[in-house]
Amino acid sequence: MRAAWAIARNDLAQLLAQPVAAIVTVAVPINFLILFVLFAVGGGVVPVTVRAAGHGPATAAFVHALRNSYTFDVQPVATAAQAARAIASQNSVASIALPRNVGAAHSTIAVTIDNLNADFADDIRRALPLAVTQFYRGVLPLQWREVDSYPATATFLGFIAVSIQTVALLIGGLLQGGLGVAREWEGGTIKELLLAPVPGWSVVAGKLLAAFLGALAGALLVLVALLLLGVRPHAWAEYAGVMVLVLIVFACLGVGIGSALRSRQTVFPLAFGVGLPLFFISGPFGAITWGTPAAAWAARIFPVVYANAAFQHAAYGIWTLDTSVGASWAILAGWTLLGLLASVWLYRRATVAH
Amino acid sequence: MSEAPAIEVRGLVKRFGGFTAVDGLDFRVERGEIFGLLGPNGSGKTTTVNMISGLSAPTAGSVAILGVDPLRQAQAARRLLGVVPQETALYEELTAERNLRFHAELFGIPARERPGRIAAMLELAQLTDRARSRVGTFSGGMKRRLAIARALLHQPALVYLDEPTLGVDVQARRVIWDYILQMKSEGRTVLLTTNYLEEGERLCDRMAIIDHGRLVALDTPGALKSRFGSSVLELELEAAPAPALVAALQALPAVREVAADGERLRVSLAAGAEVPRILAEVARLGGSPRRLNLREPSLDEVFLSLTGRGLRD
Amino acid sequence: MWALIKKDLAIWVRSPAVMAVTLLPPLALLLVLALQAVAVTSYPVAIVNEDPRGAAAATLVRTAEAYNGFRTQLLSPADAQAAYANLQVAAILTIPPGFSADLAAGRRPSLTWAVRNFNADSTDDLRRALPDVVTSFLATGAAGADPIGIAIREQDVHPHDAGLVAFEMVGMLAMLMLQAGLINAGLAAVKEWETGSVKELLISPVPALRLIAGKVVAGVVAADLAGVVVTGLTVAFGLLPTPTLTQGLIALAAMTLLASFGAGIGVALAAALRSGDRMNPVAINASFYLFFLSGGVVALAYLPAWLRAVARVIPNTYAVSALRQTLLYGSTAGTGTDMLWLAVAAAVGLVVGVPALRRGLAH
Repeated sequence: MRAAWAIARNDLAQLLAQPVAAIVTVAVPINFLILFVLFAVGGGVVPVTVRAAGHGPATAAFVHALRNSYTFDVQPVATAAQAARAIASQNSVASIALPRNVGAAHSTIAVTIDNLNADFADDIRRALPLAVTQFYRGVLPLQWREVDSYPATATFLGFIAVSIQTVALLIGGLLQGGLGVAREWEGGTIKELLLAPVPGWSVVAGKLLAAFLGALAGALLVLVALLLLGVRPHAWAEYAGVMVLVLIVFACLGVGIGSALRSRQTVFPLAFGVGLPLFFISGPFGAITWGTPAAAWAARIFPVVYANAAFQHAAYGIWTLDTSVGASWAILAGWTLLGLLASVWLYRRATVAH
Repeated sequence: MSEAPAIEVRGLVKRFGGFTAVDGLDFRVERGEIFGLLGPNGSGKTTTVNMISGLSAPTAGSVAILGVDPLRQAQAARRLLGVVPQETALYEELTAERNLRFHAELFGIPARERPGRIAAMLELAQLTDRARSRVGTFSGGMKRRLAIARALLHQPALVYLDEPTLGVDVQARRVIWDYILQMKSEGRTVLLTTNYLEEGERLCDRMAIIDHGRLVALDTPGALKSRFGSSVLELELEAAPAPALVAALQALPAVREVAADGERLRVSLAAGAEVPRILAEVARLGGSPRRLNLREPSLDEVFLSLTGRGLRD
Repeated sequence: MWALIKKDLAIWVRSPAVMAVTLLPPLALLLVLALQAVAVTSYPVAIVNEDPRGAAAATLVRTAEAYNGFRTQLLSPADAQAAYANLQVAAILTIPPGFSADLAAGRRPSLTWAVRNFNADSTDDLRRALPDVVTSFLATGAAGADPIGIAIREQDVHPHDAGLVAFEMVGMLAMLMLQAGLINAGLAAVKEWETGSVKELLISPVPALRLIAGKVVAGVVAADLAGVVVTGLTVAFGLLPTPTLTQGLIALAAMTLLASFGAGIGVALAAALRSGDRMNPVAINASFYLFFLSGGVVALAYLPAWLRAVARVIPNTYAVSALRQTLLYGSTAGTGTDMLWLAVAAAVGLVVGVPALRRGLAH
């Protein structure tokens, strides 16, 4: 263990000796967060212009219904030219023209949609009937009552933030673990470790410790950013527990990958190549069971989906997976064990030439 | 253990799939000697050393360093061994002092002894004033000196140097040679691999020549040379010698070997060869020497005659 | 000059690692979006019909089943609760007993819409969906005369809706071009320092400017090759319509100009960083940021005002705009302005990059 500690300190000293490289690798997860914040602000609200011919209470009621349709950011305009300009200059994606007699029988609302793609356009097409039914709600022959599962709804950003935390741990662990070992092979310094009177497992332990600390720095950076964005975990101990466990898993896999590949240039794309798809298939936007079954099954193989569920539980008290809480923790613990064994095995395999 | 030789290699075999890299090696390195391993690239030299240092497991046979099995008693064996790898294996981003400190920590040198030993080793490597510089800024010679200092830091009984002067300039080479001789004077055993015959002659008490994974010869540099002949007579003639002349010379007593190359003749001689008689025979068969030279044989020639190929083939 | 371009191109073709670094990130993103696009468009919803004999209830069930935002299952109350509990469905629509009769009698029956409100985005999708179903249901006349008097007349800017994957693909194509230009030219320049061959170049009688031009042109040509291959594959897979010659040429010109901008920045970075280890992460990060900041994932209009202002000074934005117009919407309208801005950006990139590398080489 003494040797492991020396190896970990040596790795951290090397990291600190190259501040630019250190910042780049530690900051990689935070980049992810920034990118998804952009994604989230983009996906949320649809900017539309509304041009009303009348000024009566019916018009006001309809504009109110539009604003309450969970969809639109309404920008009032006075003329058709202004509405067209807003679309052309990419400041709005649709223009809605309300007739003077809105709400009267046979009134027609003209909508121009910048149908950039089917997905975006459908959001608008679906939201308009919602506004219309809101407008008529009192006179409809039927009504409906919404029953929510939870008293509070997390924001979109708050929800995906949890998955970003996991992917930050994944990329951080893989990068730090993989680069730490690959660097020894590329520089030939692996010999110094191999010829030292210390057992192989203590070299692995030292590498893991350094990777753990390096990746933890990145993960804490993400956590601070999440706190700034308003995420407030309910259960801090649970949150910390998932963080540590997941970090161990990926630091181990990183050390294993680094031992197998022995090249930093391949560790980098691999960490991203693994991280991005796992992020997307492991239920960042909802339960995996709501999506394609093939993606859900693929996600169940990896620890990310269980980590996401445990993080959601710690952050919002919701459980987003059809695997039970106990089973999920057991799977995470199993992955930790597997990761430890894999890292030692891959390191040994790379170093002892039979 | 106290009676065990520094290195004992018995029936050592290493196969990689169908390829046999080391094919039944036997040799002993005595304590306190400088022992050279000589062989062309791909001769099995590196594989042998990897097995001696416990980095690779033998397919058959055994290795012991000072009586210790480098695989089964790996930790004990590694404490006995100091290694200077060819690629130096230093952490380029760290300082010279930090590199030595890490090695001291890995080898479990007690904390209170560390500063003293590190300072002494920096002094030895003449790097005291560069202790806090990054190794990445060092010249090749400085890196090699630091790697030697690092290998000696834990006071090993056996030091292995892999091509210690490869790619180092002439002055730095002399400094490194002095270090190696100093190690011997301190009672350490030194194992080195080299492709420089001059280096082998200057440093080694005994040398083993390896080719195709087999031991071709093992002796002192002087004895190895005398196998080729005690001296070499080089002649440059006015014209290329006739085949009859070469055959006649070959038939003379105490002539080991005759090689013709254009107008040049190279005659390797055993002890007691009569040079005047050779020259007379040359004249009798129509050869007129323009220049002649009598010298000691070189290890290059020894190597060529033993393996049929040059070191750098 | 041509010799230099050929040399750098030959090196590129023989460096699978460099090719992988340029091609893999956009391809991975594409795969992911393709996977995701299948999932985000609809939700699994259970329907519980407690008015099994009612005609209006049957119509409502059919309407909900036909709704394109749902993947519905008609379940018993217990099964629906179980499916809801273990997250097999995201919501339950319950039609109460006597729904049809109450509707006919004007008693305004109430549907129950149980929603798993994990987050605002998915919850809003579900909240929007039910009124949409109700509107369609009322329009069938099953609930008597439709009280909704408002008709919606839709007019679309583009003749067809493009697919989400194709839409993202074009954004990524722009990212690929920028990244390929950056990395190809940048790494080619960096390599000279790493292998020490910079000395050989410096003592050669070829002027430095021509050396740099060789690297830039080779980088841009390599990027164009990658871009044409990716575009060709996308068209072959039917994700994008086959462009006309004019559209194809404009798209190629946009790609070339963006890659030139990238190559300029790439050689400038090379002069500053002088090592592939430092160059790679910086280049990849830079092209990722520029991709997202230019509305690559969404459209400009969806971004907040400050971000839109940022996007307008990023050349990617204009390349994405020109590429979407030509490759996605089959039109050339407005591409003139885009090309003008791209040309300015390419010029700026080269004016920054070439002298930087030239100074770098001289030291």
